[in-house]
Amino acid sequence: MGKVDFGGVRRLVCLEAVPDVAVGDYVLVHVGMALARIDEAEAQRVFALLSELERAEAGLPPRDSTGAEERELSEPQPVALVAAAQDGESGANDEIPG
Amino acid sequence: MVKVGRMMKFLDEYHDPAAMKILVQSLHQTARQPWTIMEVCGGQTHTIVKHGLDRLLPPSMELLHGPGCPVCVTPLEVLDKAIEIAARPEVIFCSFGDMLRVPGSGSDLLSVKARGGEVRVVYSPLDAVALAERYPDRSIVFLAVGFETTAPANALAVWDARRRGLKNFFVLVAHVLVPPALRALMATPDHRMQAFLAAGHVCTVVGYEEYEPLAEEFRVPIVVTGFEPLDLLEGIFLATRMLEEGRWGVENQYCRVVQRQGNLVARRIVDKVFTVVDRPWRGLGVIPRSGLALRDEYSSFDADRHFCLETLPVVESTVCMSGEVLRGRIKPRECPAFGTQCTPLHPMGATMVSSEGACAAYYHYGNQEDTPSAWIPPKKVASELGV
Repeated sequence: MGKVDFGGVRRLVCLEAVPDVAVGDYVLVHVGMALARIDEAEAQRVFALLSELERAEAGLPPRDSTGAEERELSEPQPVALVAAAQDGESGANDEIPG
Repeated sequence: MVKVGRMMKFLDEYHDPAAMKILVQSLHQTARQPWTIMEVCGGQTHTIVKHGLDRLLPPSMELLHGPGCPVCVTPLEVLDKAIEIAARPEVIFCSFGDMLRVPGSGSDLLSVKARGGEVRVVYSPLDAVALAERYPDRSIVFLAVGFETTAPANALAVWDARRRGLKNFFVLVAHVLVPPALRALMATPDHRMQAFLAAGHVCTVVGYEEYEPLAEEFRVPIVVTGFEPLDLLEGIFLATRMLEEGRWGVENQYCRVVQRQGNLVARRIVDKVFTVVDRPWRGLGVIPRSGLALRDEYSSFDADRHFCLETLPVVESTVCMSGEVLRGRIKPRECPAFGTQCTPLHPMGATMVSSEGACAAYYHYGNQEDTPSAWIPPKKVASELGV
């Protein structure tokens, strides 16, 4: 078990399925169980695609790019773990996302 | 997501209107034919309807809403059994919150609670195991519904209960699996789906290897897609690009979370406790090998077996068309009961109850031409683009 910060609300979450997780990582949590560590490099890829599309629209050739330079993300929160997943405006505890 | 005056990394950037605008523009340039795409998961349906994403698409394109709402497809028989068990004096019945108001044949779990039954909403099945330990004289029953995403936690709860030697913890299992249901939909002769957005969180657990033979056999693009507005638009764009190029196969939009083989630890936990069985889906009927049931060595935790429940005849509403909604055949507003006899406060079918049901999404977020979108940025994007 480990403590996860859900944008301010902290609770214990089972980390059994994410053995490589470290303090400060972002995890996807579902019904009290972390299911994945969010991959920072992969998270950048959507913005790489956007940059590619933007260039295509402007009539520029595709850039030889890893996409990593496209966007600066905010610094990690100073907490043990931060869950960035199940959105739950009505409170996460009454949802059973598929 | 409750925001406490700060950015949430990995969430806020996927709501960026400027980024959405680029994707919408590219989609308009790419889409030359009237494509029809089904988003499988109810969580995705809610993002689409809430943020008005369907209205940013080229007018000839259509999104169909799929059956990926666990509450919606849980059979009436299971609900009736849950209601019967919950009414017993020795039982503390635990469930996720949105099962409580789903109407059974004659009642619902919330009414049982109102009549004095001990029905509790839990955040996690692991909380129900903790209750079993705390109240050894009571029978703790957890309603284990859901897709592949929920299966690891439910499996772990049963495994943990056995490890702790608990004899008073039981699960009423109605687990369902997405790929067999997709196969059933694709095999329906007159279906309209040309591409699918697969549910990212389901694939987080099981990966997408199982989708590859489906994409090949039915020659459809399947894009594993996330749940934020930008994820959905990118998923739609990638599916459209494949359709326009005449390609099929599986692409992964949600690669920040999903790996091809899924989460192997989670899969092992599920496999240890559950086995694949045929399962009836509400509104869709029995689908072969589309559900999970407890393995024999865990059968002492089976609430169905412990309480020796008989399957009683069920009474489905004759007006509610949720089965047609789940199959993508009609949109919620085409049901005569929508918004009149059937509302979230007085639901006739599960699609109106669940936080992932398509009817509830349409009811809550309007989605009609004369109803302003609940969210401003897409409107801004739409007006800038003139769509």
